[in-house]
Amino acid sequence: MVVVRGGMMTNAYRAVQWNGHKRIYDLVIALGVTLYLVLFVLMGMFFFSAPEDISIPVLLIRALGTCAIIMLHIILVIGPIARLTPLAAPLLYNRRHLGVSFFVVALLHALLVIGFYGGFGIENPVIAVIVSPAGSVPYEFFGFVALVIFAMMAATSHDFWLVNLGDKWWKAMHMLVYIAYVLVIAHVLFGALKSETNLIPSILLGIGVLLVVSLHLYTGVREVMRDFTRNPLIGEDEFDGDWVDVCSVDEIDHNRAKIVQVDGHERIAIFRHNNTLSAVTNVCAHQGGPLGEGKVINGCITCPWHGYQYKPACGSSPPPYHEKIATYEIRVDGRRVLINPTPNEPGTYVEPAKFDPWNGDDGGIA
Amino acid sequence: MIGVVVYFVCIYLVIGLAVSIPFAFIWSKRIDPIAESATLGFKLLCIPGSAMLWPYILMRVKRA
Repeated sequence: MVVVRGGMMTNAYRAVQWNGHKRIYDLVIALGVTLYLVLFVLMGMFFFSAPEDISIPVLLIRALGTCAIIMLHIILVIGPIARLTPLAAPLLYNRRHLGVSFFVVALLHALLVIGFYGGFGIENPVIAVIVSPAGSVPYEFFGFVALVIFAMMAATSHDFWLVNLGDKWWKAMHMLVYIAYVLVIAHVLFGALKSETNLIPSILLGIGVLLVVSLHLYTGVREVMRDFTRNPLIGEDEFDGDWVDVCSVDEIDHNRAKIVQVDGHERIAIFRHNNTLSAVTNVCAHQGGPLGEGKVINGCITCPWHGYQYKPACGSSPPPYHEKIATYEIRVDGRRVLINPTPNEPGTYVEPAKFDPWNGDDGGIA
Repeated sequence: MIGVVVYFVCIYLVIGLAVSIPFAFIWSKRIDPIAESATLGFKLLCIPGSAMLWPYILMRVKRA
């Protein structure tokens, strides 16, 4: 088994597989977080100038807390935005580092709260902070549970866990982010915002929640609608023996793919490359990225999410790497593309279907 | 009740830490051969994850 970390394949596990893009990404995160914290504390000291107004630790707690919430919202909207525009793909590429950075900021917020409000007492400081007075909403506990979920996600963000937990379990575990998000919102609403007289923080939080919810709903509905219109489900009546007519050669751009779905089967990506067609599963072996939305680069199908690569004919990653995806039998009849929707074993070679590039609807320019 | 949950999480993590160190340095290669040539940085990074998932880790190591 060979592992690809952030688009760079490797034969050995490392803590972080750096590359130029990741360095810039991480530098932007570090500078952004530092700048935000410094500005927040300086502005807080300016607006609350009297010593009894607010202390530096409380300002830092608020700075770290608000910073974490902003980062969480950015993390949650990157996915849907990347579905809307490929311009956001560079943000998605290294989102895991943003996630781990967010956890560190949230953890610092929690540690400072525990130290400042629960430290130096006779009771366990964690218990002293987390256990609310009887009858009140346990917003501290909401924050604690959310932090445990974020800790689990950050701790299992390395590809080692993706490989060894399995794609489905890993993804299911990381979907807990939405439960943690609801807990964080409750933590803020019943905590910091409950006693806040200024309406601006509440309005900003409302905008953030609205943005996260609406973007997820919009991209979800759009995806379903697109399946009905651009990629309609192909029914059993289209079958001719094992073969099914899925599209015309001319519907597929050069070095790109058309995604088709036959009733009762997984989505299939049909790639056009060097006047031949190859059909592979639409699901990347790494994190289930949509291969059909990627393109052929240097003769390899390249996943748009993290740059995993596969040879179109056999679905195997180029040597020395060993990732494999399922392939499908494919042939061309005139200008029509026919596939057998039953998947081959991952890595099975299928002769690419050749077609005449000079006889198409587009005037023959392939 | 909340206090009990917090103590349970703490005990769970202490056991996890005890499991995670031998896992990161010795057992990980039994469930994944690539871990044989892993760097020290990766092994250290493995500790928090295996401390949180130690029941699963023990099950996998036992089966390997």
